[in-house]
Amino acid sequence: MPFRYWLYLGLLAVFGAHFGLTALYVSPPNPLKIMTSDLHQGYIGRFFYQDWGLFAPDPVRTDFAIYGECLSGGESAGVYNLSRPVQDKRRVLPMSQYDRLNRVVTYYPLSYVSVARVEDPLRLYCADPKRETEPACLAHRERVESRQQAYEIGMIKVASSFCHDLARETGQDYDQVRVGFGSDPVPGWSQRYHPVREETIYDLGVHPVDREVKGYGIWK
Amino acid sequence: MVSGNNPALPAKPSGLKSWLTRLETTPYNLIGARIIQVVAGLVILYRIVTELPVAQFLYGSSGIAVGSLSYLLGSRLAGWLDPIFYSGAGIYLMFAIWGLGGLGLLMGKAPRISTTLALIGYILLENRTIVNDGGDNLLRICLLYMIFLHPVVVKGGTAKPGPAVFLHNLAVLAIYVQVSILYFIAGAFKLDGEVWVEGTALYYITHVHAYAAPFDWLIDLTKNPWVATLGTYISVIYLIGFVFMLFSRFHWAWALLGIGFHVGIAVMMGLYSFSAIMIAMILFSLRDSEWRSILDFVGKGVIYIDGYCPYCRATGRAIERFDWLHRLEVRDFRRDQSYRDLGISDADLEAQMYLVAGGEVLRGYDAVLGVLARTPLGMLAWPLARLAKSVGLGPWAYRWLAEHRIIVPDPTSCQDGSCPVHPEKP
Repeated sequence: MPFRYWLYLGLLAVFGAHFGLTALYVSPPNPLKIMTSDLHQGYIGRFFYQDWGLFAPDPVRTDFAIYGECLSGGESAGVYNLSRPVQDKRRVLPMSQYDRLNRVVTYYPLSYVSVARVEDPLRLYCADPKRETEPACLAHRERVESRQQAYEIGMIKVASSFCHDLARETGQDYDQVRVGFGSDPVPGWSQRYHPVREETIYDLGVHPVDREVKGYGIWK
Repeated sequence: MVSGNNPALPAKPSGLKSWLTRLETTPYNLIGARIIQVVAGLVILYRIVTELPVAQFLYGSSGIAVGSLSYLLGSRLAGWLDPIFYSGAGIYLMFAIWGLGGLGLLMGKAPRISTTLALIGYILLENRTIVNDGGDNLLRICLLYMIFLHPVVVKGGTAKPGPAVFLHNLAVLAIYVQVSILYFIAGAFKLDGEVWVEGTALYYITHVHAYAAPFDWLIDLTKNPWVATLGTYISVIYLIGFVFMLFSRFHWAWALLGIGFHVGIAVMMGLYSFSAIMIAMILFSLRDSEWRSILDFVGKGVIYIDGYCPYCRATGRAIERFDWLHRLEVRDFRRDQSYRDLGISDADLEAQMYLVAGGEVLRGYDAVLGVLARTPLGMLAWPLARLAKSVGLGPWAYRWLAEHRIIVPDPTSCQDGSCPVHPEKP
């Protein structure tokens, strides 16, 4: 067999290994996946990250919204829903910047309350208060909190950008911003013609307005 | 006759060897490969055009992004690269790299370099923000495989058997496997979801404001039990069935179902770039032989254009460029009068373009539709173009363009200071 055919066989072996690891990475938790987790997490998870849940197992069934209250010397400029105007504009102008802006104001709060699919079994396991102090559960909680912190920073940046926009409109300088987000489940199928909506608000506290972030006229 | 081992006859290649020989001889899915290049280019350009006005907000250091390249490249390298690409000016550099890649893919220029640039752009963007979706994720992965596609995808002609063809075919197989994994996993996970099993998932998704359709009546449509249940179940059946239908003789029907499914996602949920990427992947999965069968059904055609009109000549060149399966022959009616045998007059052709196909004569906007139906990429645009005919917009736009076209007679056909309007056939 010519030398290049041996090379081809080598490439096919790499191909098989690559997709074998991909299959393990995206599969539901199983003994083989857990046994090889360092390998596929370090290779696929790092260089070929992929998540094919795509609205599974359960699709998003909740409206999320970021709320911002700009404060000037402790005086409030009112509480604003920062997501709804962007989501409304996306409906009117779907092929515009609002396509991706809509995701910013939706995905930050959504990601804050969600757990990565790979960590879902651990979330269920650690839900039992008796396991709270187990090392795996402590590490899991640390990862969740670190992610939530990142998304909270993201929401503070969004609210800060809004305060800069508002400052341009009102001429007032805002030094602090209260940030929160709302979660409002879509009414159940049986209530579809007589919906009753109930929003839960999560308060993320008062933070200094991020001066590195600018206002871009998005909430003009 | 002597049977058994005969040293005078070449040994029959073993199963494995013959399989490897096949993989290095004929490049697969040339049409599908060109389609994903073009759609990837279009999606990148669409994203640049729509995101550029808010690029600093989405990706810049004075915006809302919190991501970094550190997870992918390590903190030391990311410490160098983050300030370069995510600074005020760096964002535009990043978009320029990405845009060059997208433009190159669309135009078919330096495909391997263009694919690499497009991939770099995707990696830089994806690590920075959370605004990406499954389509972006899939394209970022497939762009790496697309680097190995053979240049013959763009240039046409015959590829020399060897390692380049082998790598092309491996890339094609990689995209097949990756898309199959995506669909199968997405479908299988849904079987574990309460609302997918009870048939109401479509209702819930379409009622989330972030994915709401542009019109209220479209949202209300999913309150209907028939629409909600069938829409939900058909989605799951399509996703799981994709991999099993790939090599079935009804693959084309599954591809059609998939296109409908993704057009539905685009319309109902506004996920346009996601849908475009997924439709491109479905079209990629159609083998060249399947494309030929589809286009054989439509038949070949001769298109007559006005060679005195620069815009028409450019259109003719574009048709030839996208006529990957040679279903069309472009003729200049100023130089080729074969149309007269078909009962078409000179005045007819001066007024509008003609397409003669299978004994049928199509004129004006109908000829445009006929051309679209005979090219793989044109088939994508055909439904929209047909809709434009139904509302009268297409024929109106065509007439306007035809009436306002500039006519510049070919100086080589002018003698003694005058140019014949209809030069005789040489």
